[in-house]
Amino acid sequence: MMRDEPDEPSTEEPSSAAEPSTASEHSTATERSAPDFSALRRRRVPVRRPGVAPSAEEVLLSPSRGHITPSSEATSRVRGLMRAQLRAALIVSIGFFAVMLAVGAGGVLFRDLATATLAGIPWEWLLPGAGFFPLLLVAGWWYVRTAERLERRFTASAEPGEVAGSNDD
Amino acid sequence: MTTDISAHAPLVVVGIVCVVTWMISAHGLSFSRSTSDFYVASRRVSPWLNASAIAGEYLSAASFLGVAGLIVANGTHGLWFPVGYTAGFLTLLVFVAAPLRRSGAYTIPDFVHLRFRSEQLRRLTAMIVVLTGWLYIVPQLHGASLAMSAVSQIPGWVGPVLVVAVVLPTVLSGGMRSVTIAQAVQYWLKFTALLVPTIFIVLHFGALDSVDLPDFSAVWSAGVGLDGGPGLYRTVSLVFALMLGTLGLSHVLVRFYTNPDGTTARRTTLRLLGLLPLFYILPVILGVIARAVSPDGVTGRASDIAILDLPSTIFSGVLGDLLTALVAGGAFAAFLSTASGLVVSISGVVSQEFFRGTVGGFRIGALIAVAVPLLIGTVTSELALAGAVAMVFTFTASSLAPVVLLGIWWRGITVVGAMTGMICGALLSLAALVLGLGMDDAAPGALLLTYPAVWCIPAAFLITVLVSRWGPGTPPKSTDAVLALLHIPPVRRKTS
Repeated sequence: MMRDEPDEPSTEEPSSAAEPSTASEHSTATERSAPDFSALRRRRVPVRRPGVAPSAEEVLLSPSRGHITPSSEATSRVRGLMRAQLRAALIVSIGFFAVMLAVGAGGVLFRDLATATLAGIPWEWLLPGAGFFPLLLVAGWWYVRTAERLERRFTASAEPGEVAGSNDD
Repeated sequence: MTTDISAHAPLVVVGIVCVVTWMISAHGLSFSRSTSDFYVASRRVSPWLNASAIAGEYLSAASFLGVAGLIVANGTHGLWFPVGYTAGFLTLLVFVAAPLRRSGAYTIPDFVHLRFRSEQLRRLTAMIVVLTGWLYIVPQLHGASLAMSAVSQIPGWVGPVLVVAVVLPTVLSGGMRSVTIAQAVQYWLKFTALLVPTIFIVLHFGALDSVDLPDFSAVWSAGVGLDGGPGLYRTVSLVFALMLGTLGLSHVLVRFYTNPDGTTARRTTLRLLGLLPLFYILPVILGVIARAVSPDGVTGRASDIAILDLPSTIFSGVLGDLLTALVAGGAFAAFLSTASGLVVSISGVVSQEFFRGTVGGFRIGALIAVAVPLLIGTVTSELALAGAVAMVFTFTASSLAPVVLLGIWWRGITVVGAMTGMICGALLSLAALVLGLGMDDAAPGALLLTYPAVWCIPAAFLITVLVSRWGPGTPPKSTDAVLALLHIPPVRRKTS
């Protein structure tokens, strides 16, 4: 049984119960690939607290992602992805702000329209009170769809080894 | 006899809310098993639970009481707050959600460290995050004091003390994970606390013939002094501040870490765009009704407790008392949830900066997190709740948002540029807000100072860009690699 040694006495319970599944996956993998790991298993491994923030190198070397070593071509493809996603983001955010600005200005300039009512409620109350919410939701949904599509396209054209995690383990 | 008992109903309900919060957190102790749990709920939180928790934490005194209060006092101006608050999550969704999650950073100072690799910048960021937290907690305590004195004979100071008494042990015992569950519960609590009175009130008016309906025609005037240019400027400035200020709220951003990856982080945010309006329509409706039934010219303190007074104005007797109790309970849920989220955020940052991330440091951080706002709260007078929170948003939008946004999307930003922009943005916005508070409303330039977002935020962005471009230093060497990390979606591993 692997146990985590807490770094100081006044802590919560050890986290061994929290990751039983990963521990057993780990042991199955090691059993398959042969040599005697019992000595390693007996050794207690103190687990570092995540309280110290990761440095750039540590994150970039994260085992779940592999190591990202951008080549110049990869870098330009990343920039392409960034540009496309930034464009979508700006369309949504500036677009929404512009609509809101137009409605606000319209309410000031066109008082007749602003005070016209729908079911007894003037438009200048109806729009900010309820009208913008569906717009926000639609804008957000459009963005998520677009961003995911852009990412799928990027991943599909990635070369092996260029993107982290594409190595077979 | 019945009247006496039901008159105490608000206190009973508030007490129940406090006890329930406490119990959920105590139960959460058994969930919290590792330091990872303690800080970020071990990423086992589902998207709906997470979205509910973010919404629960985000809906503070300003959203619960302040929005309706502004509608009563200022008419249409109050309507823009819910729009702005929700639009802030739209900006979060499109600019920050996925990249921040992929960075692996817990908090904004962590992200800044990863991106810029500067200890100085990180420390500065941490200080601003802590200051923001303190400034944000103060209106919650004010709200508690207001609510307490509005629904009972108990003196106002009991409210803030009660909030601290529930929040502190909650945070100290369970850390982030128990707070997550408590937050999610509190969203639905707040939602119910306003939904039930709304239904009762709407049915009440629906069943009456028009003779008994309050005069709605007087309601629809846009509001005092808000027509024309100044009104438009105020609205634009407000929405601008709210849209960008959300990007600097570390206690909200940290919750994105509980998603497994960038894609779910985005989808959680999308769910939020649905959950928030679902709630906000209620204080809007109640605010409009309160505006109809309350006397003219209600401003300041009295307007912030408008929806606490509303049920007893419309329904007399036991029903009025019970509905008031429900609203009071919901209000306290709002203060408790936002305050706990802020305390966790401040404690985490304090622990990492000054105590090397230990749990003991976290606890000290929690104590500091409540002590300072209590102090500030007792010596400051109460501002309109929604306005006070809007000022905090202006501050974060000027100081933190430029660094976060430009750090994620621009290769050219340098450490010097980021520091200069952060300091200038913080000082400009604080100076403007403080000066504006001291000025008379009619004084020239008062409008620009009380609503500085329109010029302050672009100034901060501009300074950051200009100093990065033409100032000393070059962008960090790791820029390309870090940007790749932030923007490249991880490829699904083939299962063996």
